[in-house]
Amino acid sequence: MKTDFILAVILIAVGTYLIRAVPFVFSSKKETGKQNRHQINLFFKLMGPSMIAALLVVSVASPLKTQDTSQLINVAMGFSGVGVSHWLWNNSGISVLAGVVCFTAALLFL
Amino acid sequence: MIRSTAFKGGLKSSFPIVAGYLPVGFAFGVAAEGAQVGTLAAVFTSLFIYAGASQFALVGLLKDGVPILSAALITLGLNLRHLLYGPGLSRYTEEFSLRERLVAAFGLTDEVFAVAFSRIGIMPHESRFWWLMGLEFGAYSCWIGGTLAGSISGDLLLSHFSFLRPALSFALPALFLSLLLPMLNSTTRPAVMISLLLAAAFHWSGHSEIGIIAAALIGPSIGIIVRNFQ
Repeated sequence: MKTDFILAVILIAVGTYLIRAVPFVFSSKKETGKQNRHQINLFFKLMGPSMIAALLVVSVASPLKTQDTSQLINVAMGFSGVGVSHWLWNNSGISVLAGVVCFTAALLFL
Repeated sequence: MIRSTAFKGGLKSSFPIVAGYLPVGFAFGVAAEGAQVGTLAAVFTSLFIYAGASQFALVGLLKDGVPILSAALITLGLNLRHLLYGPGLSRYTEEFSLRERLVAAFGLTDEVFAVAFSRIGIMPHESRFWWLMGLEFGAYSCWIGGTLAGSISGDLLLSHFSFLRPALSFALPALFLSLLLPMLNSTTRPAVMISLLLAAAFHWSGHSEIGIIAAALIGPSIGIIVRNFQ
């Protein structure tokens, strides 16, 4: 393992733990500044899907790097697999595997 | 006795999470292998970070050549939503000691929070900590196990079936889409649309990292404005 990779993992691990632990330790039942808290909560609630959407764009650009039309079809098939699987089972693990299977099938047979 | 019964109860409650974590952990192990991270590094990542989407993000960003510090900061940004989980559980965990809170905080992932939030209220006060420990232990152990299995079999698969390497490059987009789909509703949709457009614009101008940060800040802001207009 490279040293910089280990350092990055440790930095993220400590940061993630603090993000989870600090509000848990300092939270109490008292509701103060309810209006502001609602806006802040909504911001954080929207931040997750926003970042995942951005990461989706960046990650999909990697298989599409070749600018090949057939690769575009493969990606579309893969996404269809994820969408249909999500609609049927609503399990992200199964959806990932279904997406990869559809992408591979398109890669091999189309 | 109460501890052991509560722990087992928590472990049983973790079964729906296990069903979701095993394949995703497996997919992470395979994706990490596809990105040539290595088995040890993949398990190390799962052991210490223990946050699915951000682990996939880290591997994906490093694979795309994003500098390691930027990748770490973006990954941390992805976990900011976890700020809400402790306060969300606080009304059910008033009796937790400081030490118990510090221990329980490690395992507060999206799915653990969702199950804990829906069930911890019906547990007797004295059982809650150990029930939560059982829940977190079940989820954590299967996440590590899934990663290890995916990483080892991913290595074997890739060495025997080389055509799978380009196929595995699709594991990350598939994961992000599968995480995004259940989050889509009338509140999140405007923020997600703006984020997709921003990320695409920045990515194709050669500034992917700035695009992700811009999406994280501008997407939710637009989402709040749209929500206030509705």
